[in-house]
Amino acid sequence: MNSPDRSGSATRGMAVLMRRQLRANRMSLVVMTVLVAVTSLAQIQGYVSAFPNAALRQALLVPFADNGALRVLYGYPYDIGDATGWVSWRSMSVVEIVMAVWAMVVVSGALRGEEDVGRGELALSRPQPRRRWFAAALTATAVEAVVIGAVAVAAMAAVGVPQGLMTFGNCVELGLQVVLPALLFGAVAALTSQLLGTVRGARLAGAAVLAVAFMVRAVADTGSGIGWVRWLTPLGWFEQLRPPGVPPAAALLAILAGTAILVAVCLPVLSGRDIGRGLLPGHDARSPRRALLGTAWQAAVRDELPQLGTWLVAAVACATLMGGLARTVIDFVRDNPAIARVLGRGVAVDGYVAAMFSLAQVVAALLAVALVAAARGEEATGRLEILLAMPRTRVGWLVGRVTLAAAAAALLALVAAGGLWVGAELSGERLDVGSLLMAAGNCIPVIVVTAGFAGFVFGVAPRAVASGYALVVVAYLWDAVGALFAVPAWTLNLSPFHAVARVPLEPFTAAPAVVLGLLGAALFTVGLVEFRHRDLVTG
Amino acid sequence: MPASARLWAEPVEVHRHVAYVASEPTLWPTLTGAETLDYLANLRGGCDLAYRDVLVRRFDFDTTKKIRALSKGNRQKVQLVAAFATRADVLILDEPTTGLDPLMEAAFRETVHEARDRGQTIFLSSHVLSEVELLCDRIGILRAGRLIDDGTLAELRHLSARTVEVTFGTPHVDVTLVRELPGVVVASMDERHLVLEVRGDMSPLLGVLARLPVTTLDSREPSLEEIFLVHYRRDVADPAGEPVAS
Repeated sequence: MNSPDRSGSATRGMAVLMRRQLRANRMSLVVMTVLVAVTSLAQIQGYVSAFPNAALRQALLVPFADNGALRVLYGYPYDIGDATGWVSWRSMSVVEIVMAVWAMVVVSGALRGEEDVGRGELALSRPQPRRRWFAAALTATAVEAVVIGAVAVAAMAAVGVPQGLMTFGNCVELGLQVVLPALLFGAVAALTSQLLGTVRGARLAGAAVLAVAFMVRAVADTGSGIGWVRWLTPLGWFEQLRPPGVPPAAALLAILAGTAILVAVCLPVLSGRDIGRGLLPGHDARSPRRALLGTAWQAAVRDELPQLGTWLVAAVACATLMGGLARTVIDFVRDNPAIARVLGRGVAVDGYVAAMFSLAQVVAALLAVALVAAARGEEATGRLEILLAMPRTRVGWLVGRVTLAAAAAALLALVAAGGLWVGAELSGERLDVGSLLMAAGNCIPVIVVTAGFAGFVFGVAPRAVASGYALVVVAYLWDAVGALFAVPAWTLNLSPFHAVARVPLEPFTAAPAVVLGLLGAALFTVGLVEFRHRDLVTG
Repeated sequence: MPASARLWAEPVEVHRHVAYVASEPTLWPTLTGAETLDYLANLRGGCDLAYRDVLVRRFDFDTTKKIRALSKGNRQKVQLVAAFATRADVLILDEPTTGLDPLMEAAFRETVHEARDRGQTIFLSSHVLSEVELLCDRIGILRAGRLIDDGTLAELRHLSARTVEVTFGTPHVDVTLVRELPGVVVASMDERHLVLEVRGDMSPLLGVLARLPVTTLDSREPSLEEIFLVHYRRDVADPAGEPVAS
């Protein structure tokens, strides 16, 4: 081997490692950039249409400001009378969670995931020091976070500044609430990746940190006289940036110092531990658990249980929170005679449930894609070769995995219905169980078409299975924002989310459900036929 | 339907008679060894559990550990135990001994012999030619995806030259008569030492040598490695292939 050129190798090595990271994440970068930009824009438009004038604004904002469930969800409504404050409250409180989750998935994948599949050893056997490899993963994530933030800032400036709603400086302040959560939680994942020996463990630990941070922030924002509790949670620090306004030095310091300390703690662990192992001892031996090993789909359930459990628990938690909001929203409608006269109370309840289920549909569709992507992982690692050398058919295997994906997604819709009911009940509002079940059932056509599409991609272009995520996001955004652009109705119907009826606000319509079901089945059939004849693709 | 077409048309029926060991032992990292063996047995629809226990002991395999924590050689043991425990009619082993230590290679050879004695057929694909020589009844040589030679080791040797080394008692012996023999090539020669490559019958050479002052005569068969190299040197530009044996 040539001796490395000391002067040039550090920057060149870093560049190579970073390029590899950026390349590995390009799909998620595009999806996140579009998602964050559109989410930010949507609330600027939302502000304009909800509060056409200052007088109306003050009257309308009061119920929002005092509502506990809303505070749990979005944080303390500091400056929601201002467009920038409104966007920060409504959008950035959600975007920061999404960015934190994204950064944790990317960083743990780059650090622990590479070691998990044995590529870490390969990378580190080259003349690249561990720290450079570590730094490249974090820097690449930071670069991507800045790109996502910059595009969001540009988009908000393009829409908000000409309308006189905000200054460019305000947009940058909002941009900080996009980028900084990714940096801090990227550092959290860097640490969990050092501590735990598997990528799954690193992600679950990161998710636990985020969940605790969320709960502490929720307590701080709903309780009275305990504002200081906000300083105990990173999500409180992001909240304290408080656009519009110059970000307070204390909040910035807490965020940046927190990130720096987390990274600094990683470094000695990184150089001291064995590659492929975490600092905390893993449980590498146990007596056999023989449940769920009978067939490939059963083993898949077993293998995906932690991931599936996380999705379902998160869905129930969110749905319960949303259910708790039902009464506020319904009261809000009732207290605004103009709106109430048009809609009526029953419609308000049904409208709320329908709106919640249009979100649940998206999450369920994403879960379906995630589970087909997991099946693809079975192929990519080469395990499928061993499986298919058994007297088992390819068709049986893929039908099992795609059915599992669809069934799990349907289960998510069902538990979301349960969560909504419980949440509403706790806040003193009884939701109709029949409507909830109808709404959950109405998610099935979208789930079927998504799972069918993912199965189709699996058959024809196995490496591109993750494009299913992009399709779901694009279809959702098309449904959500297409109407704002006054595009022709038939183009909106290209989005499955738009095509299905908004149950229970609208009665269930069979035609789009049947069309989507058939489309999903047809796509999956093509995927099956292709999969029967193609070679297995590893890597 | 011809047998070769049925192989493709009825993969499940064919796989019932076949066990396979992949060259890369990528298994399910979260399952333990025992769970993996159970899962593989379930997928196949049964295996010889008593024999599996024998194999686990023979390969000195700790079944309580998770696959994630195992070395490559230990993961390979899982595959080998699972495959041999099926008692399948045909075993296809792709580079089965990579990562195994010498003791485990011996255990592997013992297991292969047991399978052969039971009448099972084993296809062994390997780059370790000594292993192939030791284990296989019939050997095939693949190059660029084509079978370019096959037969028993003796049959393969037929095509290749044997090496004959001769030492003379006196220096500068005249070997013109040796050179003129058909099928004999002088590979190297110095003052008292002659190395020949001989194809076909040895008796003409022995006739000539009998009249010369020979002190030692050494003749040996070509090794599989030499046979292999002869096949591959015919076209150096071709990508490397591998011997397949049964």
